[in-house]
Formats: sequence, structure tokens, C-alpha cells
Amino acid sequence: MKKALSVCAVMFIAYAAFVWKFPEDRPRGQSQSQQNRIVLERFLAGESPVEIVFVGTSLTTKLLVERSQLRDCAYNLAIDGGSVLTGLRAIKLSERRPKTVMVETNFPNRPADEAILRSTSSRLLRYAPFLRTENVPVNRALSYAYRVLHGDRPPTERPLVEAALKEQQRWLAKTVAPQVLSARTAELVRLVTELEASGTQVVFYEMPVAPSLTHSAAFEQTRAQMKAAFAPNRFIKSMELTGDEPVATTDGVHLSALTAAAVLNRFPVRCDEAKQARYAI
Amino acid sequence: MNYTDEAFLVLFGVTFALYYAARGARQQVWILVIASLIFYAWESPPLLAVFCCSWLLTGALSYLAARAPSEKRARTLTGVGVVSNLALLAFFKYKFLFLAQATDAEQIRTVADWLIFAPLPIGISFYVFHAISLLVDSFRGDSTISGRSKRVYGHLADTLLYLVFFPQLIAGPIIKAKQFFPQVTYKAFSEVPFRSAFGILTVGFFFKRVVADNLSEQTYWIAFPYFLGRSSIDLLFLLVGYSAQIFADFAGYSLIAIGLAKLLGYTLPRNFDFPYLASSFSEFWRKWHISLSSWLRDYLYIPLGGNKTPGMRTYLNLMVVMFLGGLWHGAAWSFAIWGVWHGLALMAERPFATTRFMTAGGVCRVVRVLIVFSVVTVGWLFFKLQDAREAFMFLRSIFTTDVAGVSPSNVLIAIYVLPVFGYHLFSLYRERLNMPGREYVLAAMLFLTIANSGPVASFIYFQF
Repeated sequence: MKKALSVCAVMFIAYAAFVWKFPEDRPRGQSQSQQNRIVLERFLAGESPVEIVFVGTSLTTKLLVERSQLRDCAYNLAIDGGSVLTGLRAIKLSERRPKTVMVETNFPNRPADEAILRSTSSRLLRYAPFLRTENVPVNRALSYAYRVLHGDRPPTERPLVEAALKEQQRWLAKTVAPQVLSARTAELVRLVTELEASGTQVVFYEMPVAPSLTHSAAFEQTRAQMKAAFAPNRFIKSMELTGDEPVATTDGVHLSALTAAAVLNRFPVRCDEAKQARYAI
Repeated sequence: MNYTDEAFLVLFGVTFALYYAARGARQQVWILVIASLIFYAWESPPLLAVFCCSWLLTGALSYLAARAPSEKRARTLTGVGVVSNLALLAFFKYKFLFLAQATDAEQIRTVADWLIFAPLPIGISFYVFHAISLLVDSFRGDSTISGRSKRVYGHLADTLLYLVFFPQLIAGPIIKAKQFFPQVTYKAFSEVPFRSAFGILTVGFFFKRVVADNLSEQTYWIAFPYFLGRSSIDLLFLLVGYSAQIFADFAGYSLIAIGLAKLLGYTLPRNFDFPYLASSFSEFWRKWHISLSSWLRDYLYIPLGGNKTPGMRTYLNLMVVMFLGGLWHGAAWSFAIWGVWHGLALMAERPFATTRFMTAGGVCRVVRVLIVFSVVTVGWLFFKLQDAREAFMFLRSIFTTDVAGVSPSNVLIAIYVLPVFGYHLFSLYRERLNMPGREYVLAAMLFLTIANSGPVASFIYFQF
């Protein structure tokens, strides 16, 4: 038993030294939840650009900010399968204030993920990087393998799955319980007001989806609710982000890689403008 | 409370210190009882009321049955106890076959609402089986139970510890009363087997935190409708991944339970014996969830007549036991289908038990192991997808999907499946692996448990 404990301690020290000496630039997680943790841990540790921050759900995660012209000034804090509130709460938890926060409005009814915020905001992770999700041994191996195999090639285009589109049509035909939507919107208003009070500009945008879903009951309900709550703010309509181009998705709501890249280019934000402004603290 | 919670570590640390500071067996029993009740009531204190009903009923009736003046009276008392416990289980577990669970706390206003809508009391399937074991063993006149406590209070205290003992409370291993009661004695700190407990706990936590929790991230995509977007190869990887996950999760849990009990001086029965090396379905059930299958054998299969009955009756007994064993796992018909699936497999192999193919070693044995593993793995689909229609749709998709390609996540499934198969293969060579080698393996497991754990997920068997 003593020998096992001693060997384990030696392995830990060696691994911590390896992580400190060879940090990972483009970390990858094994799953959606690990990727979310990596995104949050990097932001909360102060190791990401902060001038422009995108917060949203899995729809926004398709915007590969780190591969775009915005990579030096923008960070995608969207949470796969999660809530826009989680990203906003993370900004509030961090000691940094972005110049501009881009807020996705497609699914404002989801609650903030308290558990992931609690576990990723630990100070221990800031000072002991070898404990972070990106440095989990299998994740390091995965990041390395991905870099070797894919290099800088763009992600592959995946076709639309008709069955998944039908499922989305079924889900989005139903509206959200009004009291749930009101409660989440109230929290969204509070967090946005706090950000604006500290000098951050907040811009709302609706991610484009398949044309057959654009006017679904759930999205119409959400649009009306957002406009009522944030009337004077800047809204970017999904049409402004797609122009005349067709919208290609993999399941009706998640953009395909090429469409997502085109959409990202249409966002009216630029690094040079964002960097000229001083951070509002 | 979960074995992987920080709160549990604190509770166990405090309990361990007080337990070995206590001066007598009775004090130790009460320390364990109090710690176990805290452990159980941590998430939902009202569920203690259901547990206490089972405890008082079982304690009083088993005490009276053991001292009944006639066998007829003892049989009646035991029967009342068994039926009452089964009624409790049937009401709280199987009402959800007909009712929807309450989704809003505001729906529950009165005690009647609570009874109707309350969630499944954690561990009820296990403590009801413990209670039945105590009642039946008392009726059978096992002296290790009836001879222990002369007074009803002592018997009630022992019964409470037996039912609530936290290492086995929520998901077993199911220990029979006649095996547990003789162990309720004074435990000295100097006799704690730290070395073996350390090894068992390390392997248990490794399986749970590294293998099962990481695999759960990948097998999440078995859910409907996500599997519709996967290719045939991906679907097969997902199935094998889930097969490894459920083993790692439950065997990991069982090892943690056995290790914790060891630290408190108790020996719980072994629950797994390298089940994926089984070369027949009957052997699989002697190696998988051993404590449940031996409970079903002793208290259901043998009383039904077992295999000593003529003709088709043995087949019927097998099917009844597997059907009820399946349904015991949860209030969903897919569990019953899973039980029937195994029942059919057991029935199908029975006539061939003495054939050359079933008794030969070498290649024949390897083929048999692969057949058993494949059939068992397909069966797990009914565990994962509790809507049986979705499970059948998944199986159909394996052969009919148009989606091509291979998902990179299959590599991750392969990485985490490897320790499970390695563990099984290790059983073939364990005698040859010397002690220093074992220490290095344990060190690596401990390191990975700290550095490579998956997101904390509940134990699969906690839902039962």
C-alpha cells in the first residue's frame, strides 16, 4: 500500500511538471460536457481574449471564433446543450469585463448550470492547471492526436439528418410554459443590466435555423418575449446573418460548418474596433 | 448521498473515528446506525418514514416468528411480513407503471399526495429483499439470528443495522441475514485490514470514476433520437461501450461497498466474478450480480421447485424467476423484456448443456464466451432505453441505417472499454502477477482516478 501511494505521488509530480512545461493551445474534451468545462475554465482562469464574448447555446458553439478573423479579440463562451445564463453568470463570476457581449436569443428558457459554474470557478484550477479538464491525460492525448491528424483543416461538413429535423419540428411546435420563460427572462434582464452598468455593450442575436423552423411556435414566442424585455437594445435578426445564402443545418437548428463560417463573418463586430476601446471594469 | 460526494468522505471519516473509539459492540452498532440514517436521509428525509415501516414490521415479526409456539403461527407471521414488505415495494415502485411522477413540488400538499406522487424511495428494492431474507431465515430457525438477542430491543437494533448498514443500503450487495447477523460483534481498530481494503477501494473507484463515468459521456448518444444519426459501426461501439459501462459502474460500486464494509470490520459477499468470461448463460448468472441471483435462487427459484420439477415446469420456473428479476429492476416494461430475454436464453441453452460444444474447451469455449457476451450486451439496451419501442428501433437501425462513416468517439469508447476487458483477462493470469507488479497497477489506477475521472454521475443501480 505504501509503495502504491509513493509511486502515485511520483506520477503526479511528473505529470504536473509535464503540463507546466507543455501547455495545450487547442484543448479538446472527450464529450460535450468536458468541452463546456474547458471553455468555462479557460475563461475563468483569465486565459482567453475578452474584448468580445459570445454567450449562447449549442447553436452558437458552431461559430468557430478561434478559426475566424475575430480570434485575437473574441471568445466563444457558448455552452453546448446549455443556457445563455450560464455564460453570463460566468462573466459575472470572472474579474474581467468584456467590451461587447453578444447574447444568443434562441433558447432563453434554459436554466443556468449551477454545478458546472461551481466546479469550474474553483481558485484551485487557476493555480493548479494540471487539475483542469483540458489536462486530463486522455484529453491531452486527444488534443495531440487531433492536431496531428487534422492540423488546421476545417471541420468536415455533415449532412442533414431528416429524422432529427422532424424531431426538432415536433419539439419546437410546442411553446414553453410562460412562467418558466418569464422567470428566465427576468434573470437575463438582471444579468444584462449589471453588465451594462459596468460599461459593457450588450448585443442580442438570433442564430439562423432551417427555414421550416424559423416561424415555429417556440421561436415566435421567444422573439416576442425578448423584444418586450429588451426593446431599446440592439437586435441582430437571423436574416441579417444569413443574407441571401441558403441555411444548411445538420438537424434543423445546428448550422453546418460552412454556413456557420459564413454566418460568423456577417457579425458586425471587428477586432480593431474592439481593441481600441478600453476595458470597462 | 453518493460514495463519490465530498460530504460522504466527511461522514465516513467521522464515523470511522467514532466507531473505533467506541468501547463496546452495542455502541458501535448505534454509531453505524446513526451514520447510516444520516446517509440515507441526506437527500430526502421523508423517505425515512417508508424505511422505518419496513424496519419495525420486519423486526417485530421476525422476532415473534422465531419464538412462535407453533410452526403454523410462525409461518403466518412470516407470511404477513413478506407480503407487507412486497406490498410496500409494489406500491412505491410499481405505481409509476400507471402514474406519472410529480414534476412540480407544488403538486404535493398532503400526505396522500406525497404517497401518490413521491419518488421511488432510494434502495427500497434492496432493503425489502434484506427484510424478506431476515423473515425467512428467522422462520427457518437459523440460530445465528434467533439466538442473538433475547430481548426485542436488541433484535430491533440488530435488524435496523442489517437493513440500514450504509455500505450495502442503496444497491447491495444483498447479504443474507444468516450471513450478516453473526458479524455484529465488537470490532477492534488493530484488526482493520487496511491493505486489502485499499486495493479493493482503489479498483472500485477506478472502475466507477475513470471507466464508467467517462463511458457515460459517450454512451449518452444511445438515447433517442440521437442514435438515428449514427452509422452501424457507431451503434455497435455504443452497445459494447454501454455493456462495459454497466459492468464498471455496478462492479465498481460493489467493490467500494465491500471495501468500506471491510474498513468497518464487516465482510459483504462478492457481487461479480468476471462475468464477461462466462461461457453459458447459467454461468453468467453465477458471475453477475451474484448476491441477487443467489437471493432469487434461495428465496424464489428453489421454493418454486427449482430444477427438481418434472418436464416443462423447470422452464416455467426459470422464466418466472427471470421475469420477476427483470421487473424488480424498475417500473418499466423494458426491464421485464430484459428479464424475459435472459429467461429465453437460459431455456434455450438448457437442452444442450451436456453436448460436446457446451462442454469442450479451447475454440469452442471462446465461441461460447462471445455468444454469451453478445446476447447479454444486446439485452443491456433494454436497461438503457426504458421505452422498449426505442430499443427495438435501435436494434433495427444497426442493420438498416443509411448513415455511413465512423465516429472518432469510438476511439474513446475503445480506450475506456479496454480496462474492463483487461480486468477480465487479468483473472486468467492473476496468479502469475507478482506483488510489486500489483502495487504499480494500483498506483496507476489511483493516479488515473484523481487525474482522469469523468464527470460525477450517479450509480446506475441507485435508480433501482
